[in-house]
Amino acid sequence: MRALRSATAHGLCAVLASLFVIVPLSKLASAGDVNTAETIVLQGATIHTMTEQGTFVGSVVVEKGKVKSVGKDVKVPEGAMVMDLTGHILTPGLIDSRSVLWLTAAARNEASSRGTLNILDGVNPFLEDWREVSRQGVTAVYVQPSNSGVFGGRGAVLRVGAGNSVRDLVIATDVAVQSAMGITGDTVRERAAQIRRFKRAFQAVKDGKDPPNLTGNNRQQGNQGGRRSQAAQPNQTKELIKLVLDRKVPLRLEAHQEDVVRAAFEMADEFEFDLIVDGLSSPGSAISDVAARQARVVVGPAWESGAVPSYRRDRDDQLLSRIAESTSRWALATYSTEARGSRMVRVQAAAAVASGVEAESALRAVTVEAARVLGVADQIGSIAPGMQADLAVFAGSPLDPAASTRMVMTRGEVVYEDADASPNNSSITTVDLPAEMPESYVIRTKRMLNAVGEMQPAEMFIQNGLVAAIGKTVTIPKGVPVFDVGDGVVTPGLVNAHSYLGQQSMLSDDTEADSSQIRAADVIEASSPVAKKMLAGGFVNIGFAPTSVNPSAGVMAHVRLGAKKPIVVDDIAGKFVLSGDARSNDRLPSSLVGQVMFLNSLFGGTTPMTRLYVPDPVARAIERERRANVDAVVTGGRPAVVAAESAPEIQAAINLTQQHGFTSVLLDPERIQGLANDISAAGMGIIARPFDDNDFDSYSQQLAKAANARIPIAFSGQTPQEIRVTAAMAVNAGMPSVMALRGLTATAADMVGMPTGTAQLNKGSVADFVIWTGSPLDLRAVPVRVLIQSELETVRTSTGAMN
Amino acid sequence: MNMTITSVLRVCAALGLFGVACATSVTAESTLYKAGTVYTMTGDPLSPGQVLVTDGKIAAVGGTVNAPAGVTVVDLGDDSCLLPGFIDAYTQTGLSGGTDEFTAELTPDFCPALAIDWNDRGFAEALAAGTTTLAICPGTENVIAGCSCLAKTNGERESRILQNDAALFISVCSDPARRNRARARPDGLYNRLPTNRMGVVWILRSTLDKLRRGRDIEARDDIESGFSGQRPLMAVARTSHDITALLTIGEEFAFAPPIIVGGQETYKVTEQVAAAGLPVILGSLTTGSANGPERTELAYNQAGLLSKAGITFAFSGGNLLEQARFACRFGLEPGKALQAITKTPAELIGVSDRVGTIAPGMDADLVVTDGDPLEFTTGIRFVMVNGQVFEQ
Repeated sequence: MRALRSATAHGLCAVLASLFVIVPLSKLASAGDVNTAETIVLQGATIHTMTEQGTFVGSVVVEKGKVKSVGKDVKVPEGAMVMDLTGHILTPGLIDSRSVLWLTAAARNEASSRGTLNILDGVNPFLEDWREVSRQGVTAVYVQPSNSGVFGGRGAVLRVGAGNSVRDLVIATDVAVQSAMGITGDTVRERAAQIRRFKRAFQAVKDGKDPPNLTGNNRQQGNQGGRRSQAAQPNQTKELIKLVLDRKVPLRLEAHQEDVVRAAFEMADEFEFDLIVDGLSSPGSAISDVAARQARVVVGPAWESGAVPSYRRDRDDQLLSRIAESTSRWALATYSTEARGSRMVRVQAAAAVASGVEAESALRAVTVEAARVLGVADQIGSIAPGMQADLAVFAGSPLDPAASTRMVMTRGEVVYEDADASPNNSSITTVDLPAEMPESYVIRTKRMLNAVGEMQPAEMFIQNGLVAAIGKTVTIPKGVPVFDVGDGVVTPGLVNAHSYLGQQSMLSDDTEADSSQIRAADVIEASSPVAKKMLAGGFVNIGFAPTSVNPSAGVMAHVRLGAKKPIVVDDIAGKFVLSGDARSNDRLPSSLVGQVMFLNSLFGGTTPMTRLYVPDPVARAIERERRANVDAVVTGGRPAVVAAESAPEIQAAINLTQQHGFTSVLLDPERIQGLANDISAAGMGIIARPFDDNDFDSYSQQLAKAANARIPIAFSGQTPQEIRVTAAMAVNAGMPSVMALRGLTATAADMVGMPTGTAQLNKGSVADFVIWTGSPLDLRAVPVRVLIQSELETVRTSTGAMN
Repeated sequence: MNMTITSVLRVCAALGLFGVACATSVTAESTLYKAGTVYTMTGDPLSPGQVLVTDGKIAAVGGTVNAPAGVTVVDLGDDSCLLPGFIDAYTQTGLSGGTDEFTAELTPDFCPALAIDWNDRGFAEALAAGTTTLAICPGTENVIAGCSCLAKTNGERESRILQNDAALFISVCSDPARRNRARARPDGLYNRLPTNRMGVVWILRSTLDKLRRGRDIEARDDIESGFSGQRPLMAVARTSHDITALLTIGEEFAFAPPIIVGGQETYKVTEQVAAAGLPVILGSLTTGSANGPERTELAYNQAGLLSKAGITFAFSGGNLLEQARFACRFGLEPGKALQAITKTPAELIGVSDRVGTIAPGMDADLVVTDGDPLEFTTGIRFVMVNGQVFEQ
């Protein structure tokens, strides 16, 4: 609960504050109280000032939208409102150095090669996406014209808060001129031509002449207005290059490949302008230029979600840590193409840490260094007297996205507050282990994940690939080595409840609506790159499933990655689909009603005759197999995994489950709101789909609510990172971390029918386990060792773990 | 297949009843509404009039009502009017998972109740416009398309359902042929008939023929109950020649008189339709174009013409009050206009024992307006479903 009190009535208000614990007050009301106060004191938090003052427990005094003072012992001014933030962590508001927040859909793709655009013209101050961004502590974003233009125009730094006008949102305008080399043409030859044109244009302006066209396409120039209109208007390309040459505005040049990065530096040297290098995906040896010049760079994302542009596809896992070591003047950005994607700043910073960047460096890259790179360090990015009061308070580390946000302030105004944010003290550590593990040994840790989902000190004696003993302390036979991993986390091999392991094309057969006879187990390729990444990410037990193209999709298998025999059980669950994926215009059903009718008759005992062009005996065999697999679900106790997204689909899944009385779980439900009671009454669990950049916060909040309503939750996805991000965001939204951890282990295994004891470490269990630098819910953590039957399956050889 | 579906529906119905019981227990006490005018639709309007609502039902109605002591009295004012909640006899609200199962020719067991999105905005929009009961109907891409689901516009999900296997729908129009192409070779696994309007009539005729000869036919009970008059038979027919085709087939097979749905060109064949005694559920009026669906020629005074010919009709397809007002402007009597959005559609879809009129024992589904309901400037003050009030 919040505790507000006036400095003049210290004692009395302390009593009142304790009363507030009982009296529920709306969050808005409390933010309102603070917002009406002249002076606000944020007290008791650990403050990362990002200045020479460093980090300490103390107070920040905010007055008239600015920081008035900050320190360990700050005198509370007369009449000030005090906010008690003891136990929380206070940082400058986070900054996304490359965002599309506030831009209209059209403006996001607006590009120019003549410098004609000012991004402020594409800003819609009434868009509501900022709220989800603000909730993750982000208070400022940099926006610019699209990189499909080679010389687009002016970028700006905008506030993340309620804006009634564009002017109200602007922190700084004309902070950089957007330009790009090697984005549109990606052959060496095309890039060389582009570099030549840039140099020519800059030389021309330097000589006082009109610059040639930067795209090298003269027809385009003609299209953009006839000779007369051009003569009437001042040449904008020239004007803007002049501004850059006069060092009034830096050139923000997006360059990914080695040749263009080098060319960018050469140009900056030759024409003596201020350069910000943006991108830097495969700089090769040009990284030494970055170091030599202490260049200003913007890089990211550390974690890719969604479609990856070609120039980022082959990035080195250690790229970020190499850049962080080369220059201190680097900013980390989300590069999201969705407005709400800027909320991923913390996820990106955590991913950077996971890939080997120092925690302090990662935090600087989204606060003070971001502000410096963007040229707004005199206003935002650090906490010092006179700075804009853009502050974020977290109930844990700002670099651990699972920790909820306690409060966010922009210009001294509270824009988000969660008085119930419970402290999350997740930490990461380093773990030293030999490259080879002996045949038998003891692992000792302060944090071992138990079946309930809690981390407890434990010892585990491993012998012959089995857990010979496990407990708080175990009897250690003579001569058996003990590996103490300290705060290192030990978990069972994690569970991905539903995955195709990248084999979608092999798992689809859409010729007939009833493909109950299909078994995913028959096509497993456990050594595929996707499977290897899954295993390296700590996920061992996979619910390997047929795709969703048919209402009766087929049979799921329990795959144990890394094991000599990857198939543990070839028929753990039947998969059924009520979502739109299984509607086809080429065969019945093409509608949801049709799907329900189809499944009803299937569960009721009717097996549709196959119309496949096969000999009769084969057709009969197919039909027998289908019947057996459906019966196994209806009467045999095999769980049904039912894909259902929209409310009527979920409702239909619930009705079918209750009607036919089998065990089932929902896959990918989108709208749980209002249906939680029915889901719970039907005894169903939920397999959550991966969290997406474009999701509203309500998705994570629904998962959290369902978990709090005691509905078991498991997670699924195609990469280990997206599964962990989904779980972390659910915990951020209020899911108890014990439930999230169970959802990554035993609960998930149980839900999809994996054998009892899967993803648990008990005496006699097969020794499949993962040693981590922190909790799997903490995105900074990485698996250090993944052991299958105590045999070393993967070692973290590189520092790049997130991609 | 049939058996299992009906049993699912039974489960739905059970849930529905349970839901209603819950909802009404909230409004346990009685409320007396005094209005300037009460359109009971069972006789002349009462002016002034009073309606007593108890437990979500209408307990009494009259010029004055002997209300029990302690009852809450709501005086709506002299200008106010009380009407029964409007009934939309043909809509596809909430069928977000597809309105047709067009991969099969005949889907008599297609039942929208299995897949209605109760959160669909359409329900709230209909409620705001004064509509309290909907007939949620299958689409028109099958010759025998399925059955309709009758539901209230508010309530806890399935509790809204009044009946989930109401009228049987057939399409006597070119829609079932719309997506099908004549194929050069019959080599596809799934070839679907019909490919043109002749084919539509052929399928209908051959189905009826099989029915008459007692031949094997899937979901026979569902089809038979519609054609034998056990439940309403609704036929989507828009052009005058579709309507006459329907009359011809009806004569040929002597099945129960169907209800024409759409009926945009009924005004051209009023004599035949009146003689056969077929009622019409008029499709929603499109203005701003001379043509309706299937290039039908629209007449703005179609309702007036039908009324003159003595044909029973109802409006459908949303914005019912606006449609009634529009029809009055082009020559329909006001009394008939209000009938066509309340009592008549209730009778046509088969729920006149529960909704459509204001009489003791009926559901307390009411609409309160600030003045003459057929006046264009009159607003809806509030709408009531099962005694529960929804303010505008």
